[in-house]
Amino acid sequence: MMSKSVRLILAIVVLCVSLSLLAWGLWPTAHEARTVRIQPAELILPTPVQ
Amino acid sequence: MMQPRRSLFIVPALLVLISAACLCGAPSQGLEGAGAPPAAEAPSGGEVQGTATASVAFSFVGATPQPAILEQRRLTLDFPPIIRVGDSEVIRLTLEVDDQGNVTPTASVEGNTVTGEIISIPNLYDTHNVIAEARFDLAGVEVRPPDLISEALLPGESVTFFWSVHPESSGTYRGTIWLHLRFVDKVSGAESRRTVSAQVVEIEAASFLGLSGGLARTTGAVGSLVGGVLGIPFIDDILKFLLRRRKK
Repeated sequence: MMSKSVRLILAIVVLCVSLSLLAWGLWPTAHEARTVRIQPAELILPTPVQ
Repeated sequence: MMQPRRSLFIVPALLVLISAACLCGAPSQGLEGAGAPPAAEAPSGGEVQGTATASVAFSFVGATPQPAILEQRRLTLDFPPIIRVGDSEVIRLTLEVDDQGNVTPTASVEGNTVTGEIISIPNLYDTHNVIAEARFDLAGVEVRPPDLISEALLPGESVTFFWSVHPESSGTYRGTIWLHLRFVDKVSGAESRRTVSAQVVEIEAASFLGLSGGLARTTGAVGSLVGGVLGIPFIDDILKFLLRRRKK
């Protein structure tokens, strides 16, 4: 027979580890945004090589 | 009688602390990063500027100005710096027209003095079909689509490219997102290509105790169920203990 206190500790350990795994697995992923302004001078035809 | 009760709270407190410490290594920037994405400087390909300017320097070949796209555009790259192993995330690259819209090109004469004289620059859209092409090079990670993506660039319209990234093993991966413009002459059909941007992207594939995202969620769900079943006989004791403490 598993003693009462051992069972209680086991339940708490299993719950804590499982909830940590769930929290990590469901945590929304962060997104990073980079913005670059492009001037019309950069949107021209490439200069032909002489 | 006091010993087991004390351990009842000390053990979970310790475990919660350990779990919180472990979670710090997880992709935990979701809340802070999702709301206000920071504008970062691109490593290469285009100069990052704070505000849009009305006067723009154009290059001239001989006496006639080169045809140009008379729009100020903004290139936005949206990507997750940390991805859970086994999960898929979307990377988005948007080339959109800036709030300033069309710009008035002005000529610069006599040193650096800008006179505001409007010059006539041929619109590239009139003479060429413009195609935006993008590719994401990232070794060691499954990227879909792996090839070049093409989309027609029309006046005043934005183009968006999407990639799905799926890391299979943990580690840090560096890749480059390329954006080219292909100009096809409407009359002769001659093609020319220009690289607009090449942005270096670093993605970290993270695992938790060696588990992938999917496995962590499954193990967590099953473990929570098992832990709950194991703890059911003690719910009564815990409630009684809490009520007794409140009365005191």
